[in-house]
Amino acid sequence: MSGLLSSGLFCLAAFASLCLAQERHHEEACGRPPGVARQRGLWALAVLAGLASLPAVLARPDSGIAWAAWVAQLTLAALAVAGLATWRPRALPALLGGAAVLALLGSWPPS
Amino acid sequence: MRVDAAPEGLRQSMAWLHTWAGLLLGWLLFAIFLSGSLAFFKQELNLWSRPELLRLDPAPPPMTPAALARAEARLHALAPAAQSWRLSWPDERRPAALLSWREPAPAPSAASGPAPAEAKAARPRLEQRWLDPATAEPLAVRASFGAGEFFYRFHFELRSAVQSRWILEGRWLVGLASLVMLVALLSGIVTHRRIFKDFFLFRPRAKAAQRAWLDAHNLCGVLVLPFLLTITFSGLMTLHSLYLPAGIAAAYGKDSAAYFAELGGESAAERRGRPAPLPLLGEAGWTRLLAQAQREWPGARIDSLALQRGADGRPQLELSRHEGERLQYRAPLLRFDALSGQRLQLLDTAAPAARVYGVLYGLHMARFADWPLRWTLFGFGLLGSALMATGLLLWSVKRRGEVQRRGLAPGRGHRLVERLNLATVAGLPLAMAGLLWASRLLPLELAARPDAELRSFYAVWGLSLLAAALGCGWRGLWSAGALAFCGLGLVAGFEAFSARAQLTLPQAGFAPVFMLTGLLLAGLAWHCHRSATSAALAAGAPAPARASVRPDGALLRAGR
Amino acid sequence: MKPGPSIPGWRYRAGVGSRVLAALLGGYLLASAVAAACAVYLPLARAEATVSGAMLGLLVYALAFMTVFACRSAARAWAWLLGPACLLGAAVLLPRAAAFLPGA
Repeated sequence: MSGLLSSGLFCLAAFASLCLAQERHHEEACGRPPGVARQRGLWALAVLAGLASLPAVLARPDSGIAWAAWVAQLTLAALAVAGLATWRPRALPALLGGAAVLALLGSWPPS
Repeated sequence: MRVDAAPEGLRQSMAWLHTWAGLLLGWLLFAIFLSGSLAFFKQELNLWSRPELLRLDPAPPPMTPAALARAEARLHALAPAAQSWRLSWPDERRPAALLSWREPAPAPSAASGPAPAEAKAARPRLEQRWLDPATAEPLAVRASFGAGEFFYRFHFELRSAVQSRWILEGRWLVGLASLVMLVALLSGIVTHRRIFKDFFLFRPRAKAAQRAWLDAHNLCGVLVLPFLLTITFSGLMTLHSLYLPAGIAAAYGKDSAAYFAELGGESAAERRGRPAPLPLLGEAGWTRLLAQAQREWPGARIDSLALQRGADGRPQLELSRHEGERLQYRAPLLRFDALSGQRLQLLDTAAPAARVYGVLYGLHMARFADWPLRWTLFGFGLLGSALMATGLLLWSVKRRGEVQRRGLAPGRGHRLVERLNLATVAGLPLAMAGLLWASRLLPLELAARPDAELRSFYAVWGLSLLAAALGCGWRGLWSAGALAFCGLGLVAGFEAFSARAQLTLPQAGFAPVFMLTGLLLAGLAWHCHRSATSAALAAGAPAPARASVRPDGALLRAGR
Repeated sequence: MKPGPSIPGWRYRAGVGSRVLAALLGGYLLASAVAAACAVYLPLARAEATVSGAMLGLLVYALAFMTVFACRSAARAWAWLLGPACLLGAAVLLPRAAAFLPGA
């Protein structure tokens, strides 16, 4: 899997996690509000996934372009998750799980 | 700012500021954002205006001494008295080489015209020719401003159709709008109370349509916030020498050229020498110079070269690397003595503040972006335009709801806002289609054809304003735009089919892009139609206790 | 924007007008003064100091604009803007003016 793709999947997982950590969206997705522990876990997962998306992006030749591309990627992921939260909220947990697993599989072993 | 002058909190005052700043300059900002988004594809849109260039091989040929010698010979055949010249080599997005030069203007005749004409005649004239990079043959290209070039120029100087008059005023207006954009962004952030809680929130089917519009406005703003803040601030910085000359005046006095030189990394401000015709270097000269450049920049892609006289009168060659290689603008320049081949200077800035400025500039120009990133940035620009559009429509819908609740009719100012919303948000895309059509419809031998193209743009925009004033609705203008773009798609498809033997990517890309745009506009027209029908049906039902104005209801009443 | 119980009178309009003027003109003066002061006094190379001043000046312009409307009165807004602008402007212009005085 290309580095860019796994990086994008990590970004998606990060924002899906952030979205589910919010009461309103968690309720729409899972039918009940999240507990405090689950909220904290989702926040932590979001931060980890966000950080995991960095290495592949920074592999670009120019570091300036790399950072700009990473921010653009994050924005796209946020937009995608917002769209899903609006029209298919119940798919959010699936997106979170699927994106995280695929991204991990794709970035290991490191090529 | 309350009418009763009661003290209000920061959020309320910033909300007032945000509303008024957005309302007064929203239309101009929409135009700036939309044209700027299209300017990301300046080169491709220029190719639409100059389809003759599409016949060239899209893969850029390597820059060889022989090719350079041929181009130089062509220049000397065309303009032996040229004082300086520049050759831009083709890249993936621009298939032809561009040769431009400055030659001394003709001496003013005894029967000189009025003073402005005399002043213009004193400056050296800039001439341009498109060349086939392989043979250095000048290409017969139709006289055109270039659709991409126009959107680019309109974006930062509101380029008029009258032979580049009012450029300074246009730049000032855009600068004011950009500052107000920055103020609107920052005040919007302060005002948005639930910026984290509502991060992903969008309720398009909310009962109160105003909430849906507000959600859309917030979403466009918050999710794309890094892009918006960067593009606005960097945009202001690109013209900071015009907007805030006080710093330059304080440190440099009248010598602003020295400022730009030092910013670019020049050790001493080299004054241009007295203009005089340039020597012919020949293939041997180019071989030596290119070898020198390869020594310093092994394997680098050279994008353009310029020959001019330096302060000591000797001809100097400046080589520039391709701008897509790094984020920081400008690409490094390597300067040689053209005759002896001696390396003179590398103009690249390493000082931190100047590099920050270069990065900001580069972020704004986006020359670094490859295809996926470029389309992404274009999408963000469209969302920025949508930010302005949803803001303006939100104001209109909210006001209409308040007015209806009190059983009044909308005032003149409100009706004006609705007409301007319509003419700008739906009229500008139509005007852009008009410009693209003009490059196909205007006769090739028309005098002042470039300005005629720009006049078509402004004419169509003016007509849409007239149509809005006369009662044409959103449905009408969106439909007109859809027709125009689908028509362009058909024309582009036909042209691509005719050239199918040597089809290049840009030429193949026009048809689907125009068609998709047309379909998008048709979808918007259809959405208006459907909501108008449902609103008409609902009008038979008893009026609800709380007036909830669907956005399309307001649009419906604004039209017809 | 709440429609008040009364039609806005001249006092309200004058207040808004004064603030708009303060934001546009006073803000510009402050921004220019900041840019000039940075260009002259920052301990960096000349071009560095100037471009830093320009960036800071634009930021200050935007913040000053917002401050004007957050202030409790238009008079305060003018004071907040013109005060620092005059100070910084004097810091930049006075040393130059002094060079023109006889006996310097």
